[in-house]
Amino acid sequence: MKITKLIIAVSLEIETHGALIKLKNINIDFDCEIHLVHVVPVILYARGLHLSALTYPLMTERPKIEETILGKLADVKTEIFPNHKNVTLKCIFDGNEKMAFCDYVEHQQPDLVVVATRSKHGISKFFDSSFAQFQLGHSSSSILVLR
Amino acid sequence: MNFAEKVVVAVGLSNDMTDMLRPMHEMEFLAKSEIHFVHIFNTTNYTTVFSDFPIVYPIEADLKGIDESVLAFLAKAAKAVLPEKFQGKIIYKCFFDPSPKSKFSDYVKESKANLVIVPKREKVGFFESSFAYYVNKHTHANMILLKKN
Repeated sequence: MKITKLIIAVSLEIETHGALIKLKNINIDFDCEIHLVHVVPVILYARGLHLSALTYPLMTERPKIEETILGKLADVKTEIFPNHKNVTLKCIFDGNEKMAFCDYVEHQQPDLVVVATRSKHGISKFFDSSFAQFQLGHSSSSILVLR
Repeated sequence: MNFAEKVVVAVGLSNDMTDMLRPMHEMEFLAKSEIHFVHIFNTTNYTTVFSDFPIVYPIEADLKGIDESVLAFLAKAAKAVLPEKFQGKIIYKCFFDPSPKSKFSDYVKESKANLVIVPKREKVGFFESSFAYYVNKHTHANMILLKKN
């Protein structure tokens, strides 16, 4: 498949970094449209007797968080796709990370989606990435799972 | 190390299998890989009241014929889907097992593959393919799930 549009889920965890580096082995055209996407989990909770709903992170904190994350995504771009011109950095805030990423993929209709996992072993493999598993089952595009 | 040095491809026997695997044709990173095209034929055990021994389908007399047919199918599919400038090694395998998911995952582990390619039809909800899900959970290889649009 000719890859003209690629969406990569970037978790920013060190364990997945080694897996993402493998993307250098795939010769992706320099004019390929690449989206580096990170989803920030939003937690909704009620506080006090007034039953007011709050979200974490707070709305006031989000611009700063988004700026930091876009900076991290820019570092990933420099390391893996230094010569690619058409790279979009995206930070999404959502209560359901898996679904939010899935919706983004559905909207963008890429040729390929890339997800990196932490590749746990032994008893800890029961806690292996459910994010990748979710995308395998629900994404509308072909998926590359990197370990 | 090339992340696609040793590749195992799960191949079904449906008519649209070649179309489903066709995206491999443009995967230039496979050009020098060792690629295993693998089909696991599902065997079924039947017990009857007339015998103490279960009957296994397909019966032993048919196994050789099925094996030859499957290997021929795999060779034909490989020719249609491999990259144009492919210079690597090709291996064809046909196994008979009551649990195709488990046998395929075991083969991936035994062959020490670093990439698995699984084609998948576009089904949703309760009819989602559990094969890809199982292989992803039980192997340590990278995985490409090819979805038919």
